[in-house]
Amino acid sequence: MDINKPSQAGTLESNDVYVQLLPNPNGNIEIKLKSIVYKQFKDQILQVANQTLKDLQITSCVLIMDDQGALDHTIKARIESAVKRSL
Amino acid sequence: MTQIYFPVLLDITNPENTIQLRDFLERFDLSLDTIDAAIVIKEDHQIVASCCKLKNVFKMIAVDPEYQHNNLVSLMLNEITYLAFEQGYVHTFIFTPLVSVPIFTSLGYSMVVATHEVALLEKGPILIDETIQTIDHKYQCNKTQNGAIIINGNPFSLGHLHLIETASRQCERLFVFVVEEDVSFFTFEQRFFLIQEGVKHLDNVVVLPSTFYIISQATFPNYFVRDKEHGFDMYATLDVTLFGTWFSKLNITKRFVGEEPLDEMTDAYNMTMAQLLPSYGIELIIIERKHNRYGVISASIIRSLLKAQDWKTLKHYVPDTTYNYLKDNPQIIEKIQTHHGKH
Repeated sequence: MDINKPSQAGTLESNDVYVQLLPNPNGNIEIKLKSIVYKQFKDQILQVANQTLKDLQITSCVLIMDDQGALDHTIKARIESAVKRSL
Repeated sequence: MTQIYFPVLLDITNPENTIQLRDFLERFDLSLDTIDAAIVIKEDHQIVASCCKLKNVFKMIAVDPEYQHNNLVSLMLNEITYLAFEQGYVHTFIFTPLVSVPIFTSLGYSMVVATHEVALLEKGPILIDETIQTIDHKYQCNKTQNGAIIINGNPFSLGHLHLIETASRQCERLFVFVVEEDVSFFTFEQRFFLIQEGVKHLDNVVVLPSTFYIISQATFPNYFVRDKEHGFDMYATLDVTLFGTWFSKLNITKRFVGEEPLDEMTDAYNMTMAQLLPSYGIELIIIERKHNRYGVISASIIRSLLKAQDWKTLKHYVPDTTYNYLKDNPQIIEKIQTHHGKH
């Protein structure tokens, strides 16, 4: 499934993540991550993001994430909200 | 107990509110220039924090010192980002004094450029480094010594053509950046098309959109409101520094401009370039304006001729490509009859 309508979820508060979901003209999944714990948790955050998109059967989007140290469940919930808002 | 703060959208159509906002900003030596939205945090009906925006540019972000360390900036930024996103602005900019840069980088913003007093930051899917890389990759910029011209072209005239022809003889390849911001009478698509058509005979000329980074609302708002007062030097310095820092990477060693006998503001902008560009290895070359039998050719004269439908005189001002396009599109003549304003 492609993302055709931009959407957003989350906040810039501590322990939250602000996500923006955009259509991707290249037709694949692109994730742009900024995080205050990038060095330590980059791989894990990307893994959660990819898995969440996969579970929701998204195959094409640009996902922009501004992470302020969110836990995995928060990341998952925010991406899920954004996906549902874009449908 | 921790106090909870709520950012609210200020109704800026209410003059009482704008006066309150202006008074608040004055305490931080900020003057309220054109904005389309303001988010504030109030306590006891007094503004204690503000964050304004114009299109996709956030500015005039201030917090009362007594209320700092409450994350008010991130609360307001959050609110204004949502608002901008809903309006379709995915790529956003923050204009801020240099001292506040760390707050915004911690909130996911990247530095575009800084002068000794202010900085421009951005957030979006494609940032400046990628933008420059894309252009570089597409045109293999290092293979030639390049020149650059920035043109609004409202519409493309014999003056512009003269400028481009003269410049193209002085460099191996000439990049013509067309101002992308749509605040002129002719739309960006129209202006871009007319320039492209008008320079087809010159094979070392490449016509490109200006991107967000050259003379846009973010880098140089004064250009669009013709305002030589509000922070003109600050914005002009920022715009020129940005060009020098980033566009010099495209192997641009010359920037060409038309001399500006008619327009005080553009003249002042050219002065800023003459001062700053050489330190980035870019030479500023001022090309004399083209005259026809009536005097200097300027786009504003063309628009008034168009308004008067003086096709005979117009022939002396625009190349055939522009002339034919105007003839073929009567709706433009219709539109210009009711058009007021300097652009």
